[in-house]
Amino acid sequence: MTGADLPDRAEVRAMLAAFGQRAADTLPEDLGSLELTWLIAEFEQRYDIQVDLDDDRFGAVRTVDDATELLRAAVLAERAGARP
Amino acid sequence: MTGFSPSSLPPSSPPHADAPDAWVDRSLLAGPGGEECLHLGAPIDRDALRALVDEQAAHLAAAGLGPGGTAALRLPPSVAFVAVLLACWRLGAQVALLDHRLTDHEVDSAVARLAPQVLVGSAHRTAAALRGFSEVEPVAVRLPDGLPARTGHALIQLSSGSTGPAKVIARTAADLLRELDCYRRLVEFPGEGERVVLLSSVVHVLGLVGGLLNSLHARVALTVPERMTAAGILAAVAAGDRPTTVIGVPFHAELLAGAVAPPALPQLRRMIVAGELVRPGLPALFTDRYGVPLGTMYGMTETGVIATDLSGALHPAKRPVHGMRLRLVAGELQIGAAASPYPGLDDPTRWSDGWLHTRDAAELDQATGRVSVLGRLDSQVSIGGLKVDLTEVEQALTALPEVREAVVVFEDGAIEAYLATEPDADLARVQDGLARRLAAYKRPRRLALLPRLPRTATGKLLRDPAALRTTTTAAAL
Repeated sequence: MTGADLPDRAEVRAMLAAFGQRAADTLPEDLGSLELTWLIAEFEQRYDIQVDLDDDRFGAVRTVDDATELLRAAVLAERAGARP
Repeated sequence: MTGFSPSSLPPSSPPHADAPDAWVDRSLLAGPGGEECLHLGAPIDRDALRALVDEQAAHLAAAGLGPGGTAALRLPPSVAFVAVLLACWRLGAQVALLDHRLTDHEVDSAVARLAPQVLVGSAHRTAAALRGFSEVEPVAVRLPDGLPARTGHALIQLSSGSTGPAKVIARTAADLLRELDCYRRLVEFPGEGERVVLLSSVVHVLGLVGGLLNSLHARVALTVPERMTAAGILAAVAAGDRPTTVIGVPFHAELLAGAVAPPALPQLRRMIVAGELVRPGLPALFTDRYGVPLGTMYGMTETGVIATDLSGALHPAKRPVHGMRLRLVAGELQIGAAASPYPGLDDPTRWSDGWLHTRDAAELDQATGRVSVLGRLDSQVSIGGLKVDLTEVEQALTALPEVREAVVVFEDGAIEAYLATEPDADLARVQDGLARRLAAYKRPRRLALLPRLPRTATGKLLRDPAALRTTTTAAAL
């Protein structure tokens, strides 16, 4: 398995900018719980996946990088036929 | 004086004494037995709900709960929550609702203050961040230090407090029925034969009264989506044919407005949001996407709904609901309220002489009576409709051994904390300590460490977010 065509940080930032129609240069690096909920809804919509997290795993996603990693793992798992 | 002090409460009539006899059965459980009233994963008709309430009432009575008793519920949104709440009320008890997202530390301190006789929790820890509801097995535990009800209130709720500990807010059964009557008079609010898709938590006033209790009272079928993502919410709307209203907070409207190519939803009548101010542009975006209005409401835990604009035509103004008296005093909106909703609290800055001080800045149009709420006058902020007082977050931080001082601000819709810590303090320990003391939605999105916090010329901690950010940037160089 390779990382080809996997979503990247820029893509996650673009999704984040759509939350509240914000300018890209005003985006925070750290995520609030609403921003993370928004991102997960976006991940599911764009990649046709379902990201199920328990509260602890949800709370562990604190930055754009964490969210990018979460999305990449979810997409890889979907391609492998198993959900995270 | 602050806080809930049992000894200072005057003797009063027992809970539910101000409502008609058997009000739970007559006002919330009446109607054809075979009619669907709830849908949390599977449909539940009224006969099934009545049977669940009977069953829970038997469990609670076995745990010692009876007329004039007290119970605290720590349950996630679930069928069990509904059955336990109605069972407690039917038994004549006073019910305190604790958000299931509170930490053990927060629940322990709430229980110590409220002294419920019975604590109802879930047998298993249910944890799924984006689920709309849970399947739980309620467990009622008799607490040795519990006290019977000391006031005639039926409902006790906690709000994040500006003095650190949570504020206790109480309502009587008659006041809940009054609010339900206000909803009944609003022709655009969901009524008999219609359907509600509820996104707000049933532990808080909008979801509890506007969502759950109104649906039971007005015979509206209530659905809670399995997943609180745009796709999950839209699937729940699409799953029924009846005219459907979605009730949530502005964040939910953001989620739905951001949905790419949503399906045609001919049954969708409108969405109604409350709990915080709506971003300019959001109503138009929502209507453009779905072809129906984004209505708004204004209310507070103390009184429930105060004013509405259900068609979105008055935005940002709202029309006061039936019987609501409003006035402005030095820019602050005040609401007519015969009695204080704060048991044991004698604080004239919150309630005095028949007026409730909302601490919201507002404009009142004398000609039309309409109100436009402008924002908070104190340190309370709203995170996805959940109220958080920044003072509570600051106090939780400074209570940690690693933290010397802290300033907590609200910036770009999120809570941020600036900290001066002890030398060699470990940020991970601060985060872990905070996670034990504060529910996740109250925790800062970002912790910025500084050698010392900037102060004004008079020595007060600086609270301006821009100045704090500048100091942080300079410290990092």
